[in-house]
Amino acid sequence: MAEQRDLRSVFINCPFDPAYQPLFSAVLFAVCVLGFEPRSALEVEDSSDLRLEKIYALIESCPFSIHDLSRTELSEKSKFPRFNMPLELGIFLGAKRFGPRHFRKKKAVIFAKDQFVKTFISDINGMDINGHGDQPANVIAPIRHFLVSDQKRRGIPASVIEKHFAAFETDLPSIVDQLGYKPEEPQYGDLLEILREWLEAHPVSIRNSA
Amino acid sequence: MPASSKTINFKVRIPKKVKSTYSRKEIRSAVLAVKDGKRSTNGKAPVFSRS
Repeated sequence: MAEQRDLRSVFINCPFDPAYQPLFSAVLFAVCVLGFEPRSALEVEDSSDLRLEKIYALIESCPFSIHDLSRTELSEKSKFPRFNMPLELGIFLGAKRFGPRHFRKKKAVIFAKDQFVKTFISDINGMDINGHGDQPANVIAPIRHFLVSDQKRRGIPASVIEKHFAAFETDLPSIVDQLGYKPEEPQYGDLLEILREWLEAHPVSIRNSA
Repeated sequence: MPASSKTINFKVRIPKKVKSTYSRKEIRSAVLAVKDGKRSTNGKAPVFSRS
């Protein structure tokens, strides 16, 4: 029987190429600052596992998911589009529709570069698609509203998260340099650990009416 | 109405399977050094590799 043991885990289905990294950092930051746990295929290093099996396990265990279809475009090298992200969105939708009854409560937020995505996946017409225009700040508010709307407690305002993310991005090159890394050397695990320590060193303050 | 501020610091959760090259102590030290104003001069954005 499939389980969703961690009620605060968020499956992140997005590109992992270098050009996408500013957006990926913003997604991770928004998830972590709100107390949720980011889960992605990047965390599993055992290459003997089939990638699709990892994806199944992540979708099964996460009640929330973030899907970014913005890189479903022709590769300059192969001249073919990349379909991994739409495929993983499809697996998520299938799990929600045909899985155990409690899977009906799974929730997702979908991003694309613009509304053009609906012209090549017309079956998703009717779903809300958030266009981010490749701007990291544009993913923060939708993720914040998506995750906080399901919680009984109030979250952190999106504008405050955006301000903190900008400060994190400013500090990141110096932190990596302090650790002795060249800019191209850090790995995904390093980014998450830096993010955790940075957030613990920079608590979020919000205005509170007295 | 006067406004004060309150601190919100949710527990930061990262997957247990994820490993960093450096220990939490080393990373905390680097984060705090930068917070205290020790900044590098190159400022080049890091590129995080897949594994």
